[in-house]
Amino acid sequence: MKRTIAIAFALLSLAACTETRNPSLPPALTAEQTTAEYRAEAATLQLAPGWSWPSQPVPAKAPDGNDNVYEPGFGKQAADYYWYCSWSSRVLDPATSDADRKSALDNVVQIKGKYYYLTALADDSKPYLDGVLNSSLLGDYAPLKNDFELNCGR
Amino acid sequence: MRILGKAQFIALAAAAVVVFAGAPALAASNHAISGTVYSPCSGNGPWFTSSNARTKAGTGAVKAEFVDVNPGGLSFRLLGRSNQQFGVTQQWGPNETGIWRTFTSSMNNGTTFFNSFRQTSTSCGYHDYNFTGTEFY
Repeated sequence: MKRTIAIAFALLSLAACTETRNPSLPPALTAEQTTAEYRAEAATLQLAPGWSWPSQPVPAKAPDGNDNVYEPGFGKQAADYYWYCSWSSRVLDPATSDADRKSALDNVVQIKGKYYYLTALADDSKPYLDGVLNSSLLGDYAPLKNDFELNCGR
Repeated sequence: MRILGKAQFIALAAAAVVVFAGAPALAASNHAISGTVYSPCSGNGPWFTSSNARTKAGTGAVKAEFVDVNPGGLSFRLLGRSNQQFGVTQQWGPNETGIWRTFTSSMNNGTTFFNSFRQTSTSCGYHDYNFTGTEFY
């Protein structure tokens, strides 16, 4: 019992020591943790028909061999944007019926309520996406197509 | 840009509404950036990738300069949605303030990218990991 208490005390001390190394710095996440964050967000989203979630959404290593770590939220925003891409694809597909296109567009514009738009997207970058969404709502899908081609590589 | 540290490792070293027939094109401009690199005290000093998504305004160059560079030097790159790198990695030495370096001269209007950076030096023992500067995109 004493040994258990001693170990617990040691672990708590170590945790406290680690915390005080630089408490002003918030944590970063490993690729594995970022993938878990991605999966948790993905579980709340339904992709467009024909789409599936990627098996490895976050690389653990950079091309130079160094590890990658990520700011918390990276995985969440990545899942949101993948979901947005899936519904953008549905809107842009010429085989999509008018009714299905309208339904797909309803999903696309919901990106404005997701973590991606609300938190991850830089404020100075929001007018661009606003323009893409507003054009789409007016029936002009050219900006959405351009956005998809630039940022939705699968 | 909020930049961070490394809690999972013991050694932290640490509307405008515009509607056009084509893609909405806004003018490129300067944006303040700041961040914290990791020390290589644990592992090789990983790349830290920000969760802030940034969108290129107008087709053209993306570049940066710094008024404060972390003493261990700064390596900086731009990543896309598919983890592809745009252009080249640029490096700033600790005294290289006020020097613009270009990552890419031809990023398309509307391209989303993420800033990613690390301490250039592989030495362990620096006690300042912060940088502050300006990014043009």
